[in-house]
Amino acid sequence: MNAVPDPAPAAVDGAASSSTVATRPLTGFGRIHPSLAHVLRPQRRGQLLTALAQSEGAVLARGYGRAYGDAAQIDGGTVFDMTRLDRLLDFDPASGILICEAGAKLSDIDRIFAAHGFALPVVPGTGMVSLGGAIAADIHGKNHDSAGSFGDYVEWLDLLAADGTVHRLSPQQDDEAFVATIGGMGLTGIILQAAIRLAPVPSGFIQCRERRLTDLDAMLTAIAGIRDTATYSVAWIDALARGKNLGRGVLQLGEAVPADLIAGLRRRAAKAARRVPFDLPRLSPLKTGVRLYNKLHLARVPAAGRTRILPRHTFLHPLDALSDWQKLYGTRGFVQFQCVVADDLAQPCLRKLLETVSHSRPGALLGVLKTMGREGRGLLSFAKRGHSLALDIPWRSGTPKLLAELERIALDCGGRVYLAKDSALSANGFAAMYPQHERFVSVLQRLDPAARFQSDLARRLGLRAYAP
Amino acid sequence: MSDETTIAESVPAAPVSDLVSALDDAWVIFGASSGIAREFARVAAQHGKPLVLAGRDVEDLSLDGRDLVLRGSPAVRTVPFDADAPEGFAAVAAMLDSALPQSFNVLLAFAVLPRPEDIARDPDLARRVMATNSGAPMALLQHLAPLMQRRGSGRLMVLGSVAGDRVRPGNPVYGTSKMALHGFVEAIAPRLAKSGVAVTLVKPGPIDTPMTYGRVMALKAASAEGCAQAMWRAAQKKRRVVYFPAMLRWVMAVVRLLPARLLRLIDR
Repeated sequence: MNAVPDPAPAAVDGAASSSTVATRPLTGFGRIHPSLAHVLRPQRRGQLLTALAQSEGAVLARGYGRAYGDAAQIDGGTVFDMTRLDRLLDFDPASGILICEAGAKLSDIDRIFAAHGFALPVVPGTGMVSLGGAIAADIHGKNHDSAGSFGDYVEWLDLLAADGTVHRLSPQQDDEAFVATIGGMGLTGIILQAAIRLAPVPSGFIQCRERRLTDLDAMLTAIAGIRDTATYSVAWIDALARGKNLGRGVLQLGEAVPADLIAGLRRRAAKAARRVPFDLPRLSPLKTGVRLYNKLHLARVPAAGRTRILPRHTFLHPLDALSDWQKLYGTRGFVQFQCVVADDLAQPCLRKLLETVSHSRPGALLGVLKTMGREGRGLLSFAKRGHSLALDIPWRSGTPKLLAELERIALDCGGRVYLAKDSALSANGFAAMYPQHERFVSVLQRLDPAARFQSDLARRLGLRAYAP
Repeated sequence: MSDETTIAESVPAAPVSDLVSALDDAWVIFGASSGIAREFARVAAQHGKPLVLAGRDVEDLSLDGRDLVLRGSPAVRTVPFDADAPEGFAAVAAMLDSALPQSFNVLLAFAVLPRPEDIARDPDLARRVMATNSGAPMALLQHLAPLMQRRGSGRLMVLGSVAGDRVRPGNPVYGTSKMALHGFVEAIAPRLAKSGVAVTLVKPGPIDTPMTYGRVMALKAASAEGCAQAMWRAAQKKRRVVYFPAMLRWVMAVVRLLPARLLRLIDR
């Protein structure tokens, strides 16, 4: 473990204080593989700069801990919790450009700027993500075909490098470091603040059309029919279904609703998220419960389909309707496997993935299928044109073997595993899936010659020769 | 490397209005960068209230000011304030008196939480904790209370602690400083209420702030955001006392009655 300065006596409120240090185990959202780190939560930028200068050994920034695997933890290192550096600094309604600190939460940004008629152009399935994390994972949403990835909307960003210097990065200023930082999983340094382009939205509501589809082929045909026209599209897949039901699910399409259509809807107050109060015990019949839930979920959508108008938040962040839902998986936790495969191989490859997981011992309790458009601009961006499948899998004794199998299937069809969700990708798999990784590492060597910025993920993938 | 200059170059200053009327019904927050105060300021901004942020690091507070304007506050001002420099209190009060001719609200949110081992090492710290946590609010309110009474309305909110309801043997200095503060606030509240100023004493349990970070188990610490929301509601309802989490009201009612011999029971 590295030396961390002893916490000094607490000081008057705002005064610089290092009482913001804790040594604790960190995990990703899936809560497997904890590792112990010194965690600092700086209250202002000066504290962060000082703490970085005083730290030794491995360092890493962390946001709200929504990466599923080990991307935001570093065994024995120092982790900077960025969630208090979350101030909005400037907004220009003419250009839609917002400047804010990296700890700002996406759901806060969306809520605040909805009042000005603006919204984030790309949001993930949860709004509980920091701006810095969204850039570092170059996240995508349900509108990737039309809107691309989060990084496409970053005008510039300020990066705190290992030597304590701050670099303003943009396509015009050190583009190499800029595209390494977008999707760079926090390994180029600490994103302090960024300028992002918000998009004008006509209203805070989305019209959601839903269709029930009986198998994978029907699903893929339906998706092919709408992907070029629908703004948002996402399919929920019953990942427990096998045989002729394999790949059945509900396809959701979303379009922004013009403001004049929703006058009567405004008074409906936002529903508070329900919370999962405790970890489900080990022996809960989780799979049976999910099987039942999946049947009901399918049956809820009439055969003829249905159309509803939903608040933006409800449509875009379905995962936030139930807070602490990771507790449903119990203390053993869970993993998510997400990969993208090229369109022409989508049918056989998705079939193979779904068959494998539906016949496996733990099985997957949730499947989400989306389409993706263009490549992300980052060197390690996940996005490329194709179909993306995400599977939530409980952590059981058979899970590592299943993940290895899924990785091999993805690799065989030229797929790519999403690092923000990953807990198990092999170093060889990573090298094959991310063709620009060597260029990425060469940028790291320039920005961080001593390899200070590390994560359990980076070590597992063998990105660099990290000192023990 | 100066990060502040980076921001100053990249962003024009937030519109900090000098219009007096823009500051009507403002919340003046002392110790504005403390964990709870920061969240409270955000809640007030969301409700469209002007803000005056008083604290030591004015440069940093001005960044908070930009944030609060974007979150909905019509105007934010910053004032240098150091709870450990009481000679400056009169000047701060005079400034507020001239800048805020209409009614305003005050939140006192500065405090120190020493660890018992720090006091063992530096006994004078005990005296300084009393000075910061109880002496400074009492002295400051000597200046502020008359201003508020003269305006005949407004709200005064003081951040106490459940630790001041019954002093724990584990951290007697902190508890005593808060108990003294509670006593003072309770004593002046009726007089202020008579002249139209509603006084609310806030008694939070362990809250996840810089003051407690790394010392209180995350599971035990409540969120500063939730505390700020509860404070806002209490201020609107002009409640005399607000506990957060609310159920601590009943816990503390019992703890207050514990015989001294049994006090160690509440010491974790």
